[in-house]
Amino acid sequence: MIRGWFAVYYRELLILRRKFFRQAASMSVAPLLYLVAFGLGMGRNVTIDGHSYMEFLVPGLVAMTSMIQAFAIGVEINVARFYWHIFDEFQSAPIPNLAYVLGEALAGITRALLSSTIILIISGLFGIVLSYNVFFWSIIILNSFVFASVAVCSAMLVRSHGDQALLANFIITPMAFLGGTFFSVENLPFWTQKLLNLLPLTHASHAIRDASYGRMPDIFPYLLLSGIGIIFFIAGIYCVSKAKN
Amino acid sequence: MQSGLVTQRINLDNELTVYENLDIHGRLFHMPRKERTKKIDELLDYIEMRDCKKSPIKYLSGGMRRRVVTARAMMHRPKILFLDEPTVGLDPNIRRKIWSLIKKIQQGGTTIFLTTHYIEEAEFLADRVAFLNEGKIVKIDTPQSFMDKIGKWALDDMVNDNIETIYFTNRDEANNHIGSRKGSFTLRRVNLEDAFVSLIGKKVKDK
Repeated sequence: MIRGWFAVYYRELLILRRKFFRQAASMSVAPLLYLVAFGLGMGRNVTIDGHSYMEFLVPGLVAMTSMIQAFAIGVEINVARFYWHIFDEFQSAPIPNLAYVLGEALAGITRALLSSTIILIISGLFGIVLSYNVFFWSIIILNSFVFASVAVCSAMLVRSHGDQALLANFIITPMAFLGGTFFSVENLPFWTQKLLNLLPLTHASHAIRDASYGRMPDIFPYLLLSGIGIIFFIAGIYCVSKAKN
Repeated sequence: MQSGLVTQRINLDNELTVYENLDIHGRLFHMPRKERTKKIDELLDYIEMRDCKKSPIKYLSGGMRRRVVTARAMMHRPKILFLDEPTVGLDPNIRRKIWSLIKKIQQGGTTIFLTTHYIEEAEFLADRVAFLNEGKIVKIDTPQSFMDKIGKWALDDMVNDNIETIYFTNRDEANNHIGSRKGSFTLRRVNLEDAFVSLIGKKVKDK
């Protein structure tokens, strides 16, 4: 039923390996800027929930970057589909759509884990070392599973590479800034909190923060992200079959 | 029965090497590792590109890419291979190399369905030819039968910058026709393009 997923995943890994240093460098730039500008600059004397702003910021950056990098698999799919026409190759191969979506989603998760690791290394250089336990990594995996699945869906639905970038501008960028990354959602007015709680990234940020502070995160973010991830994963299978037709 | 497909656009992974492109295809068709490795070496010899095994696709010429994409379609040993305009945009030397490769594949027992706008390509490669007009097959036969239907010799006569071609069953008839007439004539063997123009050309709408 999922035979062939590894071929799809392996192809993405090879491409990632070929562009590793470029990718790693580009994954480092934004977090580094945020850490310097917001962490060292604006938030130097700020304390939130008994932690320094840098300690508050790092889990938020991990949540945001894992989302962005998982979603970025959509760009790779688009490049392969619209410029290199590799999708024709997958179409003619005897692999089920489920295997294709699984391979691409895993590639998105891998990118997210890589970018999260880079952030932790950079923040370590700034002297920030938190608790990177199993709860911490599992919520990152779930968060990236959601956005990698969304990316597969969108990559199959868009008609050009430009459309995919537009989608990122309207969905990912607002979520990156409003999903509890740079500030505590609890400080906002009640209605805003309710609104922002609709975003999966808000829950991911909370859970990643809790885990990295050594607290046991609520079960709710895990269930929520699993549910959303599965819905988009299934939608991804449908979108692939639609794109094939 | 598995088939192989070579599309008109070259759809290789530019960032990956020749080996990696073939290997991923083998994985997609569930070939075991040993079989993949063996088949890749065999195909690289076949297309005379063993030296380029580790070369990224982006550094290869158009003709080399075309050979790789054809080899890739052969990876999973298809019984039928579909080639869509395999030599479009290639220079004559490379085109001939691709023709040799296609002949080699054909002689290896693979049935090839080839679509082309180059009629000399069909004449050189095909056992049977189908002429299409507006998406429908209008004639189907062997290249030789098509040519036999119009004659053996073709005489091109330049009339007011237009070429008029007349067909003859033997050379003497053609020479007699020329006789003492003045003008610029070219006498040559009939080819499949003549058959196409003569048998089908009238039906093709000038759009």
